[in-house]
Amino acid sequence: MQSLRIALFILLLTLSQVVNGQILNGIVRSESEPLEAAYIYWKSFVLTNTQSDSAGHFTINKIPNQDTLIVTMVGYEPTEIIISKEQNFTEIVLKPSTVLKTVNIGDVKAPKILSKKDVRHISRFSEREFTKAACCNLSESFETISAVDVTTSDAVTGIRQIQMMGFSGIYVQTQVDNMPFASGLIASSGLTYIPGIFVKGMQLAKGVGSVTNGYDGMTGSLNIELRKPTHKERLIINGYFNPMNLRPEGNIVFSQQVSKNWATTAMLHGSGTYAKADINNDGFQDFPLQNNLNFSNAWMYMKNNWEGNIGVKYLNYAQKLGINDLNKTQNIDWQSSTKNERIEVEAMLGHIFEDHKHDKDEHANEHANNSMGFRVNSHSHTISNYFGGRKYDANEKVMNLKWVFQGLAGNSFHQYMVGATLYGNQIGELFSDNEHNLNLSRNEWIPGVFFEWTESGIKNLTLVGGIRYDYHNYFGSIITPRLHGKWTIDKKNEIRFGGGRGQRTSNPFADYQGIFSSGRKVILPVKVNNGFYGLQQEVSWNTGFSYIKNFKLFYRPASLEADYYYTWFDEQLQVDRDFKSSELRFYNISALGLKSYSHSASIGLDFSPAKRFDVRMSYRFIDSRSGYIDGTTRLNPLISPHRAFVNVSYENRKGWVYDATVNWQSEKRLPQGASLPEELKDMPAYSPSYTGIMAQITKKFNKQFEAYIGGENLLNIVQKDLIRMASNPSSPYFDPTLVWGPSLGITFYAGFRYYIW
Amino acid sequence: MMSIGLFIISIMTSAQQITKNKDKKIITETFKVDGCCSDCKDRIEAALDVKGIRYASWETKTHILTVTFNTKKINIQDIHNRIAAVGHDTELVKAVDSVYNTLPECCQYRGGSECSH
Repeated sequence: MQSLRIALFILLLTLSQVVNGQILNGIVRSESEPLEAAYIYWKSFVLTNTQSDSAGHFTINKIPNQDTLIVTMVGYEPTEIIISKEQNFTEIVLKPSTVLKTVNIGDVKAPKILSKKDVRHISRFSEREFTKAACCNLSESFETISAVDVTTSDAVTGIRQIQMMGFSGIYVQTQVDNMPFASGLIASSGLTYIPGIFVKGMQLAKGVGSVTNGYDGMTGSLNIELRKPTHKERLIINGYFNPMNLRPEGNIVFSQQVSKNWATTAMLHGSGTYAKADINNDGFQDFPLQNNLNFSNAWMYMKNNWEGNIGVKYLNYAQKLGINDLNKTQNIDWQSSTKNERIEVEAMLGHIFEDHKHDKDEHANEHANNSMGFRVNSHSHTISNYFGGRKYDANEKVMNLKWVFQGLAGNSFHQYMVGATLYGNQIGELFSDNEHNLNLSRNEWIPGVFFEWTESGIKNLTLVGGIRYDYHNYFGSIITPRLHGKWTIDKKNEIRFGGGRGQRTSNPFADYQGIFSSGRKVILPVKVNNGFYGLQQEVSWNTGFSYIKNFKLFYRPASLEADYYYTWFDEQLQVDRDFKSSELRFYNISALGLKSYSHSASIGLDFSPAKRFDVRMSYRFIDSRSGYIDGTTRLNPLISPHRAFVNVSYENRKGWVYDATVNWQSEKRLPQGASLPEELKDMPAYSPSYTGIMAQITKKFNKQFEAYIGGENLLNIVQKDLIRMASNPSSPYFDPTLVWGPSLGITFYAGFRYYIW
Repeated sequence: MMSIGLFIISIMTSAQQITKNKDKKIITETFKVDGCCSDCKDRIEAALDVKGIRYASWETKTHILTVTFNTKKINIQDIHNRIAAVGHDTELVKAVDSVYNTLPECCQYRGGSECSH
């Protein structure tokens, strides 16, 4: 009764206000769409103010003697409007401000942001994420990200590879500034070639990607944003040293506005590992000796509605590992070396079409801005590897063309993207060992067209549907449908869902480079007569959903995130180390009627228990299995079904920053293979579960200079039997690819960063 | 797995209880503060990183400041004063010219509708 009376009273009060004209309703819009978060206030009575909601609506109390309303919004001209005494509704049209603004991606300060606008399940990470653990390249920055697992492919190359959904990173589309990067020869190792300090931000999307980026992106996609002239830093100098493995690293990032329309950024990275160490006493060097050089230079052009970009990248990475010099007293010798050299050029041109009709047009909604972009990217990559007596040399020349048009159908509630791509790839490969002497080559030409529709006119629901058609000169037509959706339950709860098809050309030699370091006998499909190795393209389907709840905890924003994904392969290249312990077999699964799938689920909580104190807790579960030639279905090797971590970071008012991460991984299945010889009978079938702890202290002396020290693997976990049958490298049971944990015990490092703004 | 889930839930519920117990003196206010870029954001939020203020966030896009504070330790006038003291105009307090002029060029928000960047 009481509440009814109050409700009635409020109703009457509201009615009376409307009748008396004490409330002004209105709508704020641009020429084409309603404007959210426009700030509306009375000219000389700023305390009575309001903001427009997502439909552009606002309500403001009328104030006696106030007749001038001011509306401001970023990117638009501030507007004054006279409101008459009787008026209780107004429509305000804002004009875009004449100052052309550049996009400042660097504004994001929190290390991780889940963007509300994205329809796909995308987490955005700022550069802060990459300074939490200051070493070294991007493949080492995923300890604090639950969606991505990192494994070491083998003890010889030490290449760190990512995994998503319980499958290799080759099924993840990795782009740099929205251009393909980790594909082809470096599909599995690409992130190794991106120094952490070059990176301004990263977007990580779970599940299939957008059709606009290609038919790959089967389990997830990563886009890495390199530093650009539009960012504020003019110069960054970074030095790093790890005394345990004698690893120095140096980085310089330099940006300069050259003229009114041109600006440039140049980045240089050099690093190496020089310590000779054999802590586990197996005769082999414990970690590869390396010499790495990485350079990139990009020029940016901006004028009115045009934006252009040209750039060049060069990298040269060399690694060596083998029987340590210190142990060469024995008669046995085994050495390995890997070399990667790449030169890449790219150009981009984008244009936003000016809206010519908007002035004086009542129905301006129908003439919104469209945009167009054209990009070309080309590279040559050369690999030169040997592992004992096994050799692999490869070169690929790739060209990527993309044209895309983005338009609005009627208004911004209906957007579409249409475009065309052309991918050309010329690969030459030499592979030789005791049984093989292959000289392979292939040419891939893949023209494609795509169409993507974004529909946000439906209440609370946004849908993105896409389809693309590609024609592969060897495999024929490829049709890729994909759908993503976001359901905004209310301001604090969101559900995203999506699914679709993905496909890729497999390349056993490049995708599994490190695995060839073992002494196992390599058994390829019978028909190896050209560069496609008698293999089919891999085809997968992925579907899943995620739920995000934003709430307040300890008065500060917090978020809870949960998701589930299901991935299955219609066709996949199986890399079989299990059928026999002395063999490495490659075959396609569909012809044998085998299955491959994964269920993956995760839950995560981000919150701040105190000011400047952030906590991220996460748990993820993966059940990924595939079929083998002997008819069994096994857990995919070297993937922990369970993983959980807690990451804390605290900054005090004096510029001390403390970061720590505790990362627990459950047992991984080790692909030892059947019929092990007597002397290896004790080799475990599963790795132990283990916990890795890393911690870092950074001191920011001022805006220019900060220094840090840190420690990794603080519990000193070491995998002692890093190389199986290390005593006899010429044996087919010799295998350095069964790596489940760190080769190096507890390590410490120190470094500094110097900025000029 | 269960225990981690329970742990998360227990943290959340206990935190909400704490929130309820102290509700009376902790309030959240939003108002407009002039500024333009991420540097301004850093400056404004740093000025409010003091005892009594639980949370302060200034939105670069809307220029709206959201501040959660303990009324027994700090009052709203003091919050406005602290912002103006570092050079940013609020609805109640205008920054003095001598402080405003010390702001870097990119943050000179009084010049036009938007500053550079």
